[in-house]
Amino acid sequence: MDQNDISEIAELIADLDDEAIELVKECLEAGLDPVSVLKDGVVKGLEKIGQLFESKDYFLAELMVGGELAETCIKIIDPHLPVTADGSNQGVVVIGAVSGDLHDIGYGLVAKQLELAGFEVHSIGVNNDSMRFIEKAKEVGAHIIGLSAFLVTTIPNCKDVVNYVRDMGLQDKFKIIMGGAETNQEKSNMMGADGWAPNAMEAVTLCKTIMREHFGRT
Amino acid sequence: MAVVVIGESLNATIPAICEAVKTHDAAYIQKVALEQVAADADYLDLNAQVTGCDEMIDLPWMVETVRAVTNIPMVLDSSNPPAIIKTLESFDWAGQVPIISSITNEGNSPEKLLPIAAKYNTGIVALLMDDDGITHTAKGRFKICEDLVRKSRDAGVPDHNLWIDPLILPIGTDDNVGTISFELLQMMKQAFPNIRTYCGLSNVSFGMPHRALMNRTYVAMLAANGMEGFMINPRVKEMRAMIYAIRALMGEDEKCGKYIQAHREGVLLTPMTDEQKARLAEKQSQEEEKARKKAEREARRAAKGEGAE
Repeated sequence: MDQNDISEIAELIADLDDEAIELVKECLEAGLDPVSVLKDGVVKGLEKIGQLFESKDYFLAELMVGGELAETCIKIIDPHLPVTADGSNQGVVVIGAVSGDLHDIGYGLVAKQLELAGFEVHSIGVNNDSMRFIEKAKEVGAHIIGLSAFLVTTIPNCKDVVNYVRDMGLQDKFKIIMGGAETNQEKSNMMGADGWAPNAMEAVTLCKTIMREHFGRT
Repeated sequence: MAVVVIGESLNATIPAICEAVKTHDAAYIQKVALEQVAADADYLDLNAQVTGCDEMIDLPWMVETVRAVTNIPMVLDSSNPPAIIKTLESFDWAGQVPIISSITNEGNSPEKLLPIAAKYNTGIVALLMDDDGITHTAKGRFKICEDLVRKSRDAGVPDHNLWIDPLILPIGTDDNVGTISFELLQMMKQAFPNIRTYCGLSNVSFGMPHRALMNRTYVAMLAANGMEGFMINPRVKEMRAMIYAIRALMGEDEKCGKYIQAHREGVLLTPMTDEQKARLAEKQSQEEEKARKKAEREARRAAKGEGAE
C-alpha cells in the first residue's frame, strides 16, 4: 500500500464508489499517514465532486451521495488523526451552518482541516440562529467565526451575523469568514464578511492570515 | 406502488402488427419488441387477434417470437380461453408469469378466465364494466369492482394477481372522466389494499387535439393518485422522459440515479451540451483502467484473506 492507494481513494469518492470505505480502512491498517488519507484521499475526492457539480456533470442527488460517502470515510479516519498537527494553538474558531441551512459536510471538512492545522475548533452544527454564533464565540473566546451557507437562499443570513457583531461592537474581537457551494468573494464582500475561501485548504490559509494580521500571531 | 410500464405496441389492432401476424413476420415483431424493451418497458402487451386468422396458432407464435429475443414479462391480451391455455402450456414461464388481459363483469366473462388465472397463478386484468355497460359514477364502478374482487377470490386468484382497470373514457365525452379515476383509485386501495391497478389510458384523449400532451399529463396525475400499471407506448420520447421524472418524484428512484442516468444517455428531452458529452466520453474511456485497478485491489484482498486463514 502506498500513496497511489490514497489517490485511488480520491478517485473512488469522485466516482461515488463505496469501495472507498474499504480502501480507507486498508490504508489506515497498512499504517499510511491518516492526515494524508484525509487530505489527499477524501478531501481531494470531495473537491473533484464539487468541480463536477460546478460543471453540471454531477447533480445535487450525487453531491449528497458523495457527501455521505465522504462522511463515512471521515468518521473512520477521525480516531486515527493526531489531536493537532504540532500541538500548538493557532487560534480559536467557531464554525457552523447559518439559519435555514442543513448541510454539514462542507463546514465539517473545514473544521477538520483547521483542527489539523492546530486551531481550536468549536463546531455548532447546522441551522444556527445568528445570535448562536456570537454567544458561542463569546463563551469560548473565539477569534474567528466561520459561517457556512450552501444555498442561495441562506447566504443572506450571513449578513445578520455580521450586523449583530457590529451592533454589539465586537467587530475587532471576532473576525467573520464565510464559505459554501454558492458563495464567492463578491458575495462575501456584499455580506460584509472579513474573508472568504473556496475550499477547506484555503480556509486554513485564510484563518492563519487573519490570526497574523488581526491578532498578531506569527 | 411502483409505476409499471406495459408496452402497448404489439397489438394486432395496429395495421402493421396485424400484417406481421398474418404473414408471421418474426423480424418485425421482434424489432418492435426490442424497441419497447430498450425504452424501458416493464411488460409487453401481446395481442394477436386478427379476424380470419387462428389465435390458437398466432398467440403462441407471437409469444415464442418475442421470447426468442427477450425474457421480459408479458401481458397476454386475449379473451380466448383455449388460445390462452395453449400459450400458457407451451412455455416454461419460470419467474416471468404473464398477466392475462382481460375480463369484465359482463355475462360469463369472469368465469371464463378467472379459473385459468388461478390454475396457472398468472395475473389477470379486470375492467370495471358489466351487463349495463359502463357506469358513469365512481360509486357505480366501485360496486362492479367489489363484485369482481369477490368472484376473483372465489375462483382462487389472490388479490395481488388481480389488476383492476377502472376504465378511462374520452374526456371529450364527459368532464368528470378524469377525476372519476382518482376517486375510484382511492376507494379501491382503501377497500382492497393488495389489488393492483392498471389502465390503458390513451382513450382519455380520443377525439382531442394534442393527444400526446393529454395522455402524458394524465399519466402523471394517475401515478400521483396511486395508479400502478400504465399501458402506453414508451417509445414516444416525451412519455419515456416523463416516466423517469415520475419515478423520481414518486420516490421510486433511489437518489434520482436512473433519472440522472437517463439524462446522460440523452433520453431526457434537453440534450447534453457537446462539452458535457466530451467529458462523459472521456470518463467512459477511463472505465477499463478503473476496472483493472479495482480487480487488482480485489485480488490483493483475496490474497490477504487467504493469508489470514
